[in-house]
Amino acid sequence: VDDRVIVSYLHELRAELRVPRRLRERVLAEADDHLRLASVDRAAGEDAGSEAAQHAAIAAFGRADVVATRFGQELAVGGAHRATRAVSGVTVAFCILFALSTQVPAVRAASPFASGPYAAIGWFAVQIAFVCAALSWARSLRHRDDRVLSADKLRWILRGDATALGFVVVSVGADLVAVLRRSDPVGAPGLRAVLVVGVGAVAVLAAFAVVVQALAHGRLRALARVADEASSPGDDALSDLATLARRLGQAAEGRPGVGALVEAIVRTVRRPAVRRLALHLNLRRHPWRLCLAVALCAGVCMGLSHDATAGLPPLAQLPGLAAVAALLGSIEALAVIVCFALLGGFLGIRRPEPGFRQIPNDS
Amino acid sequence: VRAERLKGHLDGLLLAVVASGGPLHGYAIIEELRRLSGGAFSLPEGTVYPALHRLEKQRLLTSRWSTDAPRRRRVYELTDRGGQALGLERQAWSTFSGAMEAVLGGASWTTV
Repeated sequence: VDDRVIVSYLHELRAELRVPRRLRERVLAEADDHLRLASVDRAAGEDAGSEAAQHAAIAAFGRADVVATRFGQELAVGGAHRATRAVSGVTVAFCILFALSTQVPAVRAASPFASGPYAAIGWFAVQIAFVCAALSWARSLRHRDDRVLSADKLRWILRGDATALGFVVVSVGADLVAVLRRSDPVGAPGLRAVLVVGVGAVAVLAAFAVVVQALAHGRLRALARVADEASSPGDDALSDLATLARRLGQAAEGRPGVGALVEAIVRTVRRPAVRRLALHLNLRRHPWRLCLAVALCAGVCMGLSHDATAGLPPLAQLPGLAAVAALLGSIEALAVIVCFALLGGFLGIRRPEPGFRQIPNDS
Repeated sequence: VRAERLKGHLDGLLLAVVASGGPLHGYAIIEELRRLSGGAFSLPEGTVYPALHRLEKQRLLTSRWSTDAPRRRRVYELTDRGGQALGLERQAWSTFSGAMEAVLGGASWTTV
């Protein structure tokens, strides 16, 4: 049987498929079988010649680049979700370790990296890693059930993951340096050993996440060379966070305490005054307003948390405490604005948006 | 029916076809889908395979090489989990199609 047309198509498909070797061989075997059956059926049913039947079977099967792209998309979507899960896990572990080593006095006393430049790097890294990982997680969660995602959307997810992972790796690297340089025993030796093991465990998890992330990037690169649909207007970080909030609300439904809290938040958000304010601020259309709102909240939280940890001082020291809180809050707010300026575009939070929609009335 | 309209329903359709026909290879699944739909569901055939692979990865289908035919052939079967997913899909579709029918089919159309 002259099967040159099918063989030529399979060569083309082999060249287009950017998938692991084992999967590629399986796809080619299935395509080969499919095309031969289809061409025999067509030759018999339509009384066509062998070559015409093969061409017809191939036309019905689809262009090689289209079929290969669909396989690439499936792999890229799965890879991005896996990378997000891995990075989220590492970031949570890192945040817990950081919180223990800085907020628990006994652990802090034994920690070689809870002071000096190591702590400063940690403070900076933990916040950015947490925000980036949370954004990526929200995006991944939002698109969890989507079979196909545009390369654009996958890119935002993986960039958030990569940024979070990068800051975790830098901070863990600094912690390891601190462990090596500050070998003199401070605090309880048992706690120090636990911390060292903890940093080691986070480093191992981070190495694993780097591999998963690299694989996901490779799949995205293979996919990105084909024509891609653009993200729809208004499809931004606020949409991701809204989905996350909705899912958390659904999960909290019916649970005593949490459910009531969620209902109270929903009631507050739906109040006409809040809606009017949201429409007036129009945070989708003005990402810098969003940045300033977040910076203000972060600054206030930082100032208040400083006051809370410092305790109630004598009356004469109140102005000093307030000034320190204001200074810390301002630094935090400034840091948020600087990070937004540097990373907002890269992470897809601050995008050029010629046609962003107004916030709909029912949102 | 355009392929875009089947988006979101393809997984359910494939599970239903495999459930009705026992172990089937890719070409037979596509042919069965076409036959059961009276020729209405005609997809770019090559794009069905990624969906089959995905369903297998989700453990809704299982596949193996069959040596019954003269050529080695990959055949797909429904798993227990796939059966449960199909049940849920049928339930969701029944609710959805009932609601659509009530709105689109039940309304009395007046001609001007």
